[in-house]
Amino acid sequence: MNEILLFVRGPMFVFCFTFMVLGILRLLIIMALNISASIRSSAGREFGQGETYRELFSWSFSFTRLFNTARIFSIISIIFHVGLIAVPLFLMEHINLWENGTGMRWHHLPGDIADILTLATIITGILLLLYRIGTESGRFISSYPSYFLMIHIIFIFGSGYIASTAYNPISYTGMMIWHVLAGNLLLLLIPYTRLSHAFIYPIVRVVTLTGWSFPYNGGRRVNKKIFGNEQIEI
Amino acid sequence: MNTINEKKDGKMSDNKKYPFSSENPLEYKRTDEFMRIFEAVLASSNYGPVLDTYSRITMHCSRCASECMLYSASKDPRDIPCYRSSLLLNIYRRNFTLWGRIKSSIFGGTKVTDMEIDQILESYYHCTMCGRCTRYCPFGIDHRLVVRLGRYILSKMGIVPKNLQVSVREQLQGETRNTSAIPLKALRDNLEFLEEEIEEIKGVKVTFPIDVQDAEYVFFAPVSDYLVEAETLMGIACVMHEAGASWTLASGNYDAINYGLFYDDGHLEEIAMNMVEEVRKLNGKKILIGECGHAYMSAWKFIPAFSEKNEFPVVHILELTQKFIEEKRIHLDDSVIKERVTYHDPCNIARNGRIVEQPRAIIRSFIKDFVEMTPHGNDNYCCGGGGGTVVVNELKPYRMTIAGKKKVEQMIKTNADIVITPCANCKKQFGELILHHKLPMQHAGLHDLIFKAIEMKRGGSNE
Repeated sequence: MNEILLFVRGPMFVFCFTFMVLGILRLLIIMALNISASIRSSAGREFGQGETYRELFSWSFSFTRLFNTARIFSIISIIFHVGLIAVPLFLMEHINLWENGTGMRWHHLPGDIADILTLATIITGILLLLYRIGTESGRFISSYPSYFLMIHIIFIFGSGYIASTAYNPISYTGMMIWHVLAGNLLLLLIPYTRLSHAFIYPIVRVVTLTGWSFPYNGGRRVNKKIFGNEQIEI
Repeated sequence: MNTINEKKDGKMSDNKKYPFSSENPLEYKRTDEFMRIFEAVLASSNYGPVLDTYSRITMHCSRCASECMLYSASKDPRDIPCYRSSLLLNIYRRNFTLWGRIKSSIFGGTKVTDMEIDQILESYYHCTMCGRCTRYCPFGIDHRLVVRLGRYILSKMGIVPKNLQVSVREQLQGETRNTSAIPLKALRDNLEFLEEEIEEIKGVKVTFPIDVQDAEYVFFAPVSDYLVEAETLMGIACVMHEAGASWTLASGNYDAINYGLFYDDGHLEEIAMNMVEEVRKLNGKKILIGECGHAYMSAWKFIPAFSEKNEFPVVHILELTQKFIEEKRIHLDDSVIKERVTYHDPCNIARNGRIVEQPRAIIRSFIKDFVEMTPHGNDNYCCGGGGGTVVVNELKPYRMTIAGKKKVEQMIKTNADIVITPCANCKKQFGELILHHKLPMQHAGLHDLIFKAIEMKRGGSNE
């Protein structure tokens, strides 16, 4: 069991983490190339950069827009995301692992706060999942990945929390193997599912603006491709 | 669309006929046509990267649902904006992404089904493209853009609301070159009549200049104003006269309406460029748009995008009137309008925050009893007739009961006597809403009220 744990924590984790980083880099590079191609095709004319930055920064750093309607949903979602990002990055055990592997170390969360955040993430995750399952609109718009990814994240947090408490039904090593395997799977999934929003969400508004910059003579070229003539009867 | 049928020779396919096939099948397959057009549009535009990003990142968190006025009124999950976009994004994902193609070949899946096309066609003309969902989406996914793309593909298949098609046909290929088919002679008679009205009411001779060379502002109004909104035009003429501004109409093109903004890139570009052509002929300096929301958006955003150099700044009449008031070039009597007034922000000028404060500054300068709707400004609710839907008569029951419901609730809460809206489409929608719901109020353009209150100190104009 210990050898399995060492393997999944060691070489397998390194492989999965590298896969995630390379996958995200690939995504970012493709998006940057597409954005610059779009800007060039609209000949660099009035692109509305001022509007982009204003919208980008006002949304990323303003929380007032979250509290217009659907307030409870927004608060639950924020708590979920805070725990989701803070616990993996600032948990003492995770930082110890990083230090063993790379020598880097940074500040960790106090144990009580980490426990509270973990529990908060699990509870808010379950509430969000119940929203998807329990409401008609939630069920209508959700698909298998929506349910699976949320259950997976709750499992990772749950298994990590249970392994560190006295209520552990199976051995520490066993629970840890489940935890790390599930975590590795999540790392593999991040670049190729909607979880990539963690890294590319600020750029989406810029992509939207490129969508609105229509290329010169685009309509005529489409007509030519479809009907063989640039001008058609309306 | 006769061009599509002419291309096919009407023969059945060479494959063996299914023994129980129906009689008289369609001459062409809608689904094949849809995919062909989708591919052609993606190849000649910038939609590809946008759809790629959206199909990758959309979380279906349904935050947009709480902000969409259609969903709040109908509670039908098919009105949730992210569901509406996913109708097209699923097709994109299945056919144009690597993993989508692999998945559909393993698990089975068609390129696109007839039912999906029907769903798109039903759903995409319900959306009013107001942009509220985008403002509140945590990612900023622009559902308007996806809806517009869906409508673009359908229009190339020949599926487009008749009123939109007929208006654009007249504007681009007809003799009168405007959406209401008003010939130039009728326009001149109308303007003469308006000049007589102004002289009778205000006691001052004001002219509508036509084809004046080297004017500072070349004026384009939504052409329906010449038929149904006389007071708006009279108000604008009085403002320009009092301020001593140099302006003109263009006899070759006097229609600011641009329905291409709602459903077709080619039409959008051609209509916008026709306006620029006219301004060049007259050697004008700036383009002045009358009281219209979408006309301003299509001119301001797309004339710089499509013309080679950014020649002509686009100005909205509200910006200009507010500037004149600040510079004290016009004076408004604040004892004329005694009614309680509220203001509706048209989505196309207010959503991006461009023209939110100017009309309020104008109103506060001469109207004492002004009450705001909640929410207002960037966060306003759509009138219910945006995105070209106000022109589509078949959608009127939908607009009255679902699309306009939130706006009616807002209007009733303000208890106002007059609701001001500087947009031709919104005015039509409000007129219909007020009649349908028997509301005790009237609608008006901002320049209608300015016409009543403006003090004509300058004297008559020379011919």
